[in-house]
Amino acid sequence: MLWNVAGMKGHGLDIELKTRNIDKAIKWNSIINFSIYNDKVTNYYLPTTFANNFVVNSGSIAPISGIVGLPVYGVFAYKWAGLDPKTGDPQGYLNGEVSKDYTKILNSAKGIEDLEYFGSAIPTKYGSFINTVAYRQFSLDVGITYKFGYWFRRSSINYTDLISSRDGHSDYAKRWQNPGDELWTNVPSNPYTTNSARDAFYNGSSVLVERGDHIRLQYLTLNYSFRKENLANLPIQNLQLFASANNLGILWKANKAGIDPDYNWGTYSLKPVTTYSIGLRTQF
Amino acid sequence: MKNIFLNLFALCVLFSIIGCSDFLDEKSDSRLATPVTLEDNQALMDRTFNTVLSNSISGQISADEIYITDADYGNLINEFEKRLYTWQPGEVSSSDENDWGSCYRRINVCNTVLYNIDHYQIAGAENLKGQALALRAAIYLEAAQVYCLAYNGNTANTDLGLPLRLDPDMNIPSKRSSLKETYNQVINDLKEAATLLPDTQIALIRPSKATALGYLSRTYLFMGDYQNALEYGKQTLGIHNDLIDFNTLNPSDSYPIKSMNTEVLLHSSMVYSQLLSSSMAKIPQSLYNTYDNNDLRKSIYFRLNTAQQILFKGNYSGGATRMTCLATDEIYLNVAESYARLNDVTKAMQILNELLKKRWKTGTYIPMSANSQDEALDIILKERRKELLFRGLRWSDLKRYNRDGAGISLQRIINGTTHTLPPNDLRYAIAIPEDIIKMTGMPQNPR
Repeated sequence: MLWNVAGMKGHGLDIELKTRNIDKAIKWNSIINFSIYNDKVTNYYLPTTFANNFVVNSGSIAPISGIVGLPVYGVFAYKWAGLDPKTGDPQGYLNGEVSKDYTKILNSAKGIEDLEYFGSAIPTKYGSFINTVAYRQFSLDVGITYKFGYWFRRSSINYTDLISSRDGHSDYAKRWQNPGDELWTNVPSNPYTTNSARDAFYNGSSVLVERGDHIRLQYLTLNYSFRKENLANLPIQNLQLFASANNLGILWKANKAGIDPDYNWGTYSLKPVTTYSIGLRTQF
Repeated sequence: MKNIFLNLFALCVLFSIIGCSDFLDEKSDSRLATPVTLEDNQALMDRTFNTVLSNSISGQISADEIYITDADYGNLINEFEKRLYTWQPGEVSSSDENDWGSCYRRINVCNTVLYNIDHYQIAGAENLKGQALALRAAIYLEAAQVYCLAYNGNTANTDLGLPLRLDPDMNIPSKRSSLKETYNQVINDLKEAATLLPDTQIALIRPSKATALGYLSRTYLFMGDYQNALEYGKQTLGIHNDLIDFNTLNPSDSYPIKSMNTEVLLHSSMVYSQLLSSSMAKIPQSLYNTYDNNDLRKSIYFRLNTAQQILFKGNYSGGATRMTCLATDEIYLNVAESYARLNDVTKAMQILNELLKKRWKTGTYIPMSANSQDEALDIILKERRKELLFRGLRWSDLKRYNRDGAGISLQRIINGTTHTLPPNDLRYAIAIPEDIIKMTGMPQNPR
């Protein structure tokens, strides 16, 4: 191609603060990193604007929206009109009317008009908070990271996948089965037949979009440093004994679905396991 | 002293300017290859996935050669196959891989090769140029069967044809030509190819002169120009008229007809489709019943599943892949039909009999004759349907028969809902993918 297809503008701010909170027999130092990042599309020349171009099913990175004034990666979803109380079919909106014509909803040429916009798909505020508390020969490092100001799409049951490749999902247990179930669940009924448009609609609908905001305990490390005088007979400069734990999981998250937003890309992505280690560190 | 420095400086500048031309010739990435040689460009044509394979499935899914059960319908993964099968007016293409994209991807390979031959002045490229022209024409003809109505001489000037992309430059906007221009392009390219190509090629994935002539026969038949269909059909058979004797095949083989057999003029196949797969697509009982018990096709083409439904195994691939091969049996039928249309009943029946005696158990075939043009045509068209099953031709045949007044109405019943496709319905021109329409601003097929 002979021209650019889009233009974008990004701006941000990085702050690093080092603090000495207590400096006595007990020492407590902190390093706070805080970043703000915002971008937006300024030009976009590709005209493809079907509703489904803005919505990618669960487990994928958001597509580039290409809407001038919005973030490059934004989360859009089909508007949700609840489950049909008679059949448990998901319902959306087509031209402002409640509709079950999924193919038409997916291919709506009105682009984002028929969609709900949530916000950026990548964190707009993020950073870390690292603390060191020391007392005599002991010190404790606590690493906390956080991400705020973004949205993600969680996965759910896809009946076409279930029928064609036996690829299930725990939401199956929460599916609509009897009239009245629509009052407590948004998981559509099992149609006992493939309908990939129905699945694509549900999997791209607004009920599956969650806030990504969370705070994570990244690591804990406990150190014990031997006194130099105790090492006099040894040919070493220093000696430390340490015990640490990594990937300790989430301290707080905005979504109620119990999902770690960092490990939600792809049906099969797994959280890294928590690792524990103990060891001796020395310098000669 | 100062002068020496100045001179040295000037020299340096001079050298750096001379150096520039080399610098510009350098490839930005050493892995990038420019196909400037005959071998390179032949290799582009020989990469079968981008040339003769991945042919269209839309027509085969839409035609009445096959049916699927409600249960099969309920197992279809792709919504577009369900919609194609029930002749929906739009949204009948997969958003990632569809017939439109496949046709134009293959056309682009031909265009690239034709551009390279011309641009790099590649010597001795007559054969290659012929291949690219013949294949491009075959693909345009294939795409016209999916996305355009039947060719009608009276309206072809105004009927919507295809965007004719003849240059690999993707900055040229796409505009739909008239159906007449589309068919003219096909015919002119095939005629030029026939003058460049050798009678046969070293491999059946490369179009030969016989291929180009065979496609000319097919094109003229679709257009209703039977004089030319006959002429080019005879020329094709003049180069190659072999037929398989079905008595030499083993009906108990899972796929008795081998790939690249002696009838094949160009090896080509359809892209995989769940609906057309060997266990799903079923043949109507009424069609199966038209085969005589001594007709070997009954056992070579078909097998029964446990539910006694009829499945097709007569692919010219020796396997489950559905083929769209141009083959001599089709040319025999083109010639027979053209003779009949031109009211030479004796010759028409004679050539049909030549084909059929290779299809029946030795000694059982009694040559057929006809007392009138209508009777001959009736026999030949029935035999055409029985012979050319699953070759992607029925959809085109339905179009042209209806154009000529056959009045064939198609019907599917799925989960109690009846879908009907009346003769000459506008949906015989399948909807172009909506994103293509939106991107290019071309007119969609009217509904």
